[in-house]
Amino acid sequence: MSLIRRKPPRHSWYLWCLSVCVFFLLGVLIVYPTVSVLLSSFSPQGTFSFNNYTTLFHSSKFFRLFCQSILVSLGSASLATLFGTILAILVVKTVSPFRKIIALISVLPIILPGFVTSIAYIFLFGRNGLITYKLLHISWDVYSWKSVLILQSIDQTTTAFLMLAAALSSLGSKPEEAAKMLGAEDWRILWQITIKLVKPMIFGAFLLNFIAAMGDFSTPLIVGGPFDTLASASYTELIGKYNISMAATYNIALLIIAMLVFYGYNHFTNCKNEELSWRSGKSAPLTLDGFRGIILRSIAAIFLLFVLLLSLAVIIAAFTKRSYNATSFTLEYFTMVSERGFASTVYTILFSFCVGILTAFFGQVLAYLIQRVRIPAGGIIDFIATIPFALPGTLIGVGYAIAFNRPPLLLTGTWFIIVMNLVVRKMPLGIRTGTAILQKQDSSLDEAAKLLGASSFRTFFTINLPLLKASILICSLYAFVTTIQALGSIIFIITPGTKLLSVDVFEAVIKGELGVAAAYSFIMLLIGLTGGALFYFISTRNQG
Amino acid sequence: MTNEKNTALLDIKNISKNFGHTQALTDFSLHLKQGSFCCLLGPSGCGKSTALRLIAGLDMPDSGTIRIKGQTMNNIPPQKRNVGMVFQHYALFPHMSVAENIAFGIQDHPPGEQKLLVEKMLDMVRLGKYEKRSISELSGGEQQRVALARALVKSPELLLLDEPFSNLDIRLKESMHEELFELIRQVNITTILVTHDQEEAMSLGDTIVLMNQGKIEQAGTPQELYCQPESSFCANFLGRVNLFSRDAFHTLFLPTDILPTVTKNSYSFVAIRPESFKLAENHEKAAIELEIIRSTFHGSFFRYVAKPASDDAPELECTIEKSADSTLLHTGRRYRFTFDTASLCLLPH
Repeated sequence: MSLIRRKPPRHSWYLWCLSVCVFFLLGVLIVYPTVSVLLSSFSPQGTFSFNNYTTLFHSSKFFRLFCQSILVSLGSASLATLFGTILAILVVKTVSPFRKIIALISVLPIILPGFVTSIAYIFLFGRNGLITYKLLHISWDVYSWKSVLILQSIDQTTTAFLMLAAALSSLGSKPEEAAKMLGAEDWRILWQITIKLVKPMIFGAFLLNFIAAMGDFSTPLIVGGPFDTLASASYTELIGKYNISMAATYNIALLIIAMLVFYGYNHFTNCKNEELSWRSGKSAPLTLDGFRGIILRSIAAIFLLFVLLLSLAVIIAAFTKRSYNATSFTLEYFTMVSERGFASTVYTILFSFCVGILTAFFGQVLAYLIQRVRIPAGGIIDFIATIPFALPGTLIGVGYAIAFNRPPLLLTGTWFIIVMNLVVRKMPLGIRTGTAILQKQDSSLDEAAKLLGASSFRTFFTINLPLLKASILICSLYAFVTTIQALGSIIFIITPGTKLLSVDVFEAVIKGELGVAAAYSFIMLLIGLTGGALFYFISTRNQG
Repeated sequence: MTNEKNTALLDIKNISKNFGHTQALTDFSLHLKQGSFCCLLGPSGCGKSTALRLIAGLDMPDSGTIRIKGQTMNNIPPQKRNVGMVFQHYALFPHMSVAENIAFGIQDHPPGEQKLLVEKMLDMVRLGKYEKRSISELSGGEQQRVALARALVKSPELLLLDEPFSNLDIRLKESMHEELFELIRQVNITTILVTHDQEEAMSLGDTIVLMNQGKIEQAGTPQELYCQPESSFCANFLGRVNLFSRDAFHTLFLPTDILPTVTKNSYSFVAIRPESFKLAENHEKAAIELEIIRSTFHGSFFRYVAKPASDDAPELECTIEKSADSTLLHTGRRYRFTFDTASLCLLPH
């Protein structure tokens, strides 16, 4: 939202029409499913009642679920924020060797979703695990909250790393240099200047990680064993017991927590609006040596090695077979995969591709309509379109399962509804990117075009869009890569006709077919890696 | 007590710095006495900021030595150099108050002393009641004063200013010039100012080091650089000038008898400052006839763009002071001009 409030322009009738269309679309795709969940939670037997909530609050199960979810999410969010911050400081602010490699491994979890790392984790540390059983000959119960905590924090670290790295590099190196000129030692600069300046971002990353951990249902399901959370319980209610209404109730509880946290997130990331501009320098100003430096680097190294180990384990698990304590190379799992057909692979590529393009394009259009054209009620549109960012994936999933499984919109099982679901999930990212770019772009360009007689429409397509090509491409590639692993929001609306790789992996794990799951994951990794490589190539080439 | 050692506060010998394949600074030497005010002047990308960062210790030179008070500084980190610096956008810490910013450099002092020092500095930069203010509440000029106070609180040996006036408007800039000048005279600190503004350099510095493409073009007092430039770059960069190639100069002025016999042979350019021209008296035979093309009024003087009679000759610029007896020259008319031959600058390159 722009800080300068201009006089609201007088809107012509077609802008009103446009606004109504956007509202209608957002209403159908976001508000309707969310409200459906809410209504469903109030009608366990088809009639309105508070039964679900009263059973919820009287059962010790809910209380247990609630506390477990909060505690583990707090733990994993803190760990992830700690890892992410350390890694970002090492990459952006120090002259460490291997800075590029550290950055690369830190973003590896983007193409390595939680349910894939879970497979690798079980393969390495499970009852029959490569490390615990074969190497160390210990047997421990891998299925517990500890495993959930470890895997969630690894999965979330990337988010924290990306946020902090962006904040730290936009800060430039001038604050640290100024502190140096005043005689401050490196560690004092780190604590009193660097960390303090990005503190709002650290809180923001923490809260975002917390929301993501709360909404994660696959990790507790796969490695949690008896340990369950609100999100995993909602999955069990829906898929296991087919109790839609109870699943909806759990999700509403999740939603309330998420909304509260999201409010805090907005507060932290908005209030850092400093008017001072730092010219960003390229030099890395801190050395951070000594004992504390060794500790810092050790933490980073442990994290990086663990991520590498997990990714390696996926590949090993996909290609090896173990029998009678002997490990041998095999293509058996891939033969099984090919027998089941590659439809899901094709769908995954196709859908993710569509989602990537649609997200970036619609995000850009919406951002333009809100920021520049200033269509009526733009602020409300912005708010509604950003909601899915805070919604737990399972809530959207359950919402779509309820809302589009009945007239007037009987769409379950069609590719359209799956793509729309995914686009809605990624839309906040698209709008944020679009807004950020538009704010960077001088609005006098638009004004110049308009004074030369171009309509808003023509201005957008001939001036704004061409200038944004690179950013749009980057945004769509990011959406593409992250869509490949989307699971929570689509698992409830998938049908045999529209299967995706992520669902295949998940179902294989649930059935206990670790090898097949690893093989599917391997294919997924390859696709993600291709997209990620393109992403990296384009974003580094356009840095200028 | 020998005075020799004390006079050389900063002694830089032949430092060079490369960034990758670009030579940012080549063979830079500088010798500053205690209390002097030196301006590093040059167009952007000339290496002046690199030189400043090397002196500060934010970058290390590839070769050469930097000495402060006779002590070699090459491998000493900026924290230990006791050099104060004001950054281009001030680099004030936005999460700290004015007082906290200033006290940042003196944290090892006892709290009571810190408070006194901060108050003293704030009084000095005339921001008496501003301790508690946050940085974002300050105007550009106030921010600059805080940055100055922060840099001076440790009473450093050397004060470095990196284009500190570049984002102030012109009125504020001029008043800040005066204030800074006064303040620096008062504390008598050796100062190096980096700037691309020649007027700023001339009015503030007692030495100007003019730089171009990573090298020192010429160093000296402002008067030396203005009146005796050693290159066409220098003549051009400081003030306005009419610059001629040797041949063009000869064809234009040899027939007019203004020129004395030019003794120096090794020159390829000739520079004449616009203010060297004056209207020829009627009895003066040696003069050049110029047609006025444009005239602009600048308060204390008029600036004329004029053209010699021959078609391919370049246009000239001359300024005539506005005084009671001077009259406005009319565009389109021809006038006879002459100039002070002593002010001619013969330039080797």
